[in-house]
Amino acid sequence: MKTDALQQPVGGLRPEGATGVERGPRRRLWGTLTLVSMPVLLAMALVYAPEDANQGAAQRIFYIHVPSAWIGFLAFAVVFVGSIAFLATGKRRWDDIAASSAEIGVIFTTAVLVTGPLWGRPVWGVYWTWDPRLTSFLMLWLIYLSYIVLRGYVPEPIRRRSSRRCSASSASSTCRSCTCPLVGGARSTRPSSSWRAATCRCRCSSRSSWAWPRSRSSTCT
Amino acid sequence: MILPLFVILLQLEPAGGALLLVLSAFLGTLGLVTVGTLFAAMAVNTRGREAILPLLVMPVSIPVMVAAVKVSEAGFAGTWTASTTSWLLLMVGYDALFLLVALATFQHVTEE
Repeated sequence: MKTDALQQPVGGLRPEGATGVERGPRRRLWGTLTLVSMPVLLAMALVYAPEDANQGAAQRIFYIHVPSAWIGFLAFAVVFVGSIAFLATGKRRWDDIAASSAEIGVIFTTAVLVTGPLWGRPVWGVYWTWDPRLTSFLMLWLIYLSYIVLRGYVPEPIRRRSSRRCSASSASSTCRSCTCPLVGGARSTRPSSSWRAATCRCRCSSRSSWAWPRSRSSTCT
Repeated sequence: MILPLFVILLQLEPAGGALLLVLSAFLGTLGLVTVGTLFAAMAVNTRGREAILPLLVMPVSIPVMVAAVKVSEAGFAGTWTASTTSWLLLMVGYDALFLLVALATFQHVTEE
């Protein structure tokens, strides 16, 4: 019963047509590439990269943390586009893309929320602080978690008959995600630059998270 | 309705910030009502609608709630600073965004 409800949105791969494309050598190629690039990434991150002068070995978690955040943002952008395309065209495939992308995004934002505190403890001295950026990121995660829960709660007959309902939720909840970075920027202590910071937060999140801990660690430790 | 009651019962003095208080009450209510109505229409057709509605509304309404708190705080203190203006702008933007989103998606939410 429960698994039935959950399996449906997970099915990003449609039985008709799509399986023939995805299951072939192309899929094996992606698998092989991942298998090769993962050890290379680990070797580069753990061995090749020099140790950070201020943060020591803890800084190495950035090589996982920041790309996960990027993938999460990208996945949520795909949810946004897919949901709007579904509302405009009514094609079920867009909805599947949005749903599966939301799951990818939640997985990677969860990784960010797990690795972030692990880094914060040695560098900031605390696992978690209710700082604007962290809080808005938690909200982002919560919003997409509730989106997935909502899809699981829509009864099967209704979803079959008019799958528009669950995707209406997707479209609106995606627009909500746009407010998350906006809030993070506006809640920062510098009101004049807040708007600009909000809009380019996604792009320069890596750079600001470089600048941020330096100023932070001096106040915390 | 509740706001004047609080002012009287708790003997608060909105020193020169009455305009801010009215603004924050109006914009905050507008944002909460917009989001609440849209999600209530979504949740009504799900199993366990009572459980899922707060789950949907809570994370989304946090921005407008925080902004309303900040602006009314400034209203009671009677100080209108630059950050107050940016919080007000945030509320205006939030309300405008969700009014538009709600208008655009409401027919999809309610159609059978």
